[in-house]
Amino acid sequence: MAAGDHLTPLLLQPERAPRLTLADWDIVVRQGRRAALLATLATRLDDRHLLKTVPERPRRHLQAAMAIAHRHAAAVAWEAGEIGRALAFGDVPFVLLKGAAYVAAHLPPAAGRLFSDIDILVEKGRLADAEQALLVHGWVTTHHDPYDQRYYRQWMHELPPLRHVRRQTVLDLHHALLPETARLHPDPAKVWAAAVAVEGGAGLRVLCPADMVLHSATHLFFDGELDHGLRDLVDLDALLRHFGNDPAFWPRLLDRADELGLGRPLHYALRYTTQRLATPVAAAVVRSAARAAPTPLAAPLMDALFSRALAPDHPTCATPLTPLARFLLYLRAHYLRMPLHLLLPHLLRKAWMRRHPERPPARPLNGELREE
Amino acid sequence: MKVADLPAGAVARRLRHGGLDLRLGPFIARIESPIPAVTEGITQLWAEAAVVERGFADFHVRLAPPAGLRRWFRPQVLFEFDGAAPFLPLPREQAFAFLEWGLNWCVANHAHQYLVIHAAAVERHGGVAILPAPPGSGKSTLCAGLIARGWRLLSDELTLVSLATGKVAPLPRPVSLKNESIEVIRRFAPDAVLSAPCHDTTKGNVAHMRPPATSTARDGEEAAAAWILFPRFRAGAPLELGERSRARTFMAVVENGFNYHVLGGDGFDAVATLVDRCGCFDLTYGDLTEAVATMDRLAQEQQ
Amino acid sequence: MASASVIHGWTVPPGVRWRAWEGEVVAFHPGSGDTHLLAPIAGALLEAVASGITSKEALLRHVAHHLDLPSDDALAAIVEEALATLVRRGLLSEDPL
Repeated sequence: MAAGDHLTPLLLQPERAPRLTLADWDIVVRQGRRAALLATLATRLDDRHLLKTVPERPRRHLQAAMAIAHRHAAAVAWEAGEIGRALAFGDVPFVLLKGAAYVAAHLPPAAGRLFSDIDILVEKGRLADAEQALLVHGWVTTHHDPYDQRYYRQWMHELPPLRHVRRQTVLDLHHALLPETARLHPDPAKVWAAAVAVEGGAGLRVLCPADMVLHSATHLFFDGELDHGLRDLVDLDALLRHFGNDPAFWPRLLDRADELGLGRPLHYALRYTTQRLATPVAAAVVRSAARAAPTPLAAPLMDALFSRALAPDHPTCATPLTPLARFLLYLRAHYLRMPLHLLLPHLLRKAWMRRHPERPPARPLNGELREE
Repeated sequence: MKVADLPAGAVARRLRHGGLDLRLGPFIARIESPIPAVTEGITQLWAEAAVVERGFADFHVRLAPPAGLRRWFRPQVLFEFDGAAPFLPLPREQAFAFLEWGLNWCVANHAHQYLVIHAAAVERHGGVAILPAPPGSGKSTLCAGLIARGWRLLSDELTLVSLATGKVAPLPRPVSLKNESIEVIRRFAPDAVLSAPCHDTTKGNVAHMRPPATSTARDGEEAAAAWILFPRFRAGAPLELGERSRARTFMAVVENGFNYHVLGGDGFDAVATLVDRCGCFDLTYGDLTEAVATMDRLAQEQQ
Repeated sequence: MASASVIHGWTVPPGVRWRAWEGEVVAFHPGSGDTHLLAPIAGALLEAVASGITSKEALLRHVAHHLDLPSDDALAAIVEEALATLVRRGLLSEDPL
């Protein structure tokens, strides 16, 4: 465990909660909040009837986090239905991804989750129809800058995010699990063909279990910016525990990783979930997945980078290397998404935009306290 | 032990090293800052606030210069909550005001055991008047006037309605006054403690009035809501107190609710209960003395 | 538009909450999280459906009586539109009987 990480041990063993002091809770609540895992922790304690053992002050924060998460889940479930109605109008089939899929399919990672947007997958040839059907129902594009539009449409695997004009919810429309410019490129047609309907889910579809795990692993280790590395790892752990109850799942997972060329992300997923979260995975499965490990020279470096980046993102967990580790992994993720000659101009532009945002800063002085 | 009881220099020392833990109404805030304006603001305006032992703090906040050039050139201050900065920086002179508003943000986004309304709350004879109002409505001036004439301050900015009890919980903090209101209150309440005005290019001058010691001393006492009143200041206007329909009061409270959307159905029920038990009014006034007298009469009638 | 052979009725979906004061109604939809202030006719319709009145004719009669309005074509048109709006907002659901 990273130095000072009070959160992960408690997530793994919630029964330790009654032994925590107020000073311990002071650290746990802050780490939990920064890692976007406070509601998850609260839910685990609540499920085991341990919330009442938490002193009143920290308990109120846990309960508040659960209230927020419940609201998010209700909103996502509603949005998924609205999106379904809009796309049915355009006769466009779609598959829910990530958080929205966990909610729709009532999977364990849904509990305590916070959502910033909804991700869906459509067939590349139907993108225009999807955009049109959504536009008619109130979703409009957010990135009006022609550069950003090009970045998303041409190089990435998604349209620029759509925002609903009235509800302000954000929808990310993907046509593949990874960008066309990326080194790993699982065949979207295969992924599409294996998607399954949600039981009682009114026509909603999600990825099949193996693909869901592989997508989550790929997103964490190859696609994302590791803002919520620990949260994503906790999701993976929850998915593996849930699907892993079926013995037939594991051979399917290994075969599918080979079939889609996603052996490396699977290796990382099993390595770090077993190491950090004690996920119950048979040693034979881990060994088999390790055939796709990076070269022996790279392994210690990746271990060091990930171990620092998978701790809660809070000053109490920071070691001197952490900002560097995160930055290196951020660069790596972008490198894996885009070739170098495209990457540098893009990163420069992103840095520019951060210094000169188009939106004015939040101005609390006039009494408006809305976070931007 | 209150802030005023700390030895000279202790406030500045604790703010610089390790943080100062203060109880503010239902919350404990751990505050860190190397900036002198923050020390001054806390020493002057939070003199009556309770200093507590280090244990669990609800909100860890820090006001510090940002890294880079803006440490020295046109210096700025950054508000950090749990090590992250939710807002862009402000000019350094506004550091104490930034602390006030930053804490409001913390409460509004995390204290979901309450319905948090953007409103002032003042109490008289056991009944709380909730004054929701957009900026510029004269809410703070009226609030300052009332507490200078014996009303207890529960809050100037954030009214906390407990979901469990339905009562209003106190969070007495300095009342912010703008421009002409500063002079009005100086004349209305010559004994009130006011900070030196802070100059903001968009809003003019802002000053803070320290809450009466009695309000801070009773900051553990919830009280029942009795009125929801929408003030509107119009210079020279005759006083008008009119009833507002409960349904429209309901919608206005929702619009002024910071965390209403998080609470879902519980939020709806909380507002409904509030509206059920309160008298709902619009109050237009041009003269502060008249307005205070009207509110006093209202409080007398319900006794 | 309902065809002649299918009669529709209305119900209040589970989770919708509302309150009425002096003839004005506020309503909450749990999925969208929206809170609405309903115009008098829409409010009367919501309350009527909630109390068990489901058919269009009965609803029209109720509104006319409750708000002291003539039960004519103009009112029927307004009621129809109000019902459609309430359905669109998720405050009522329209089901074939």
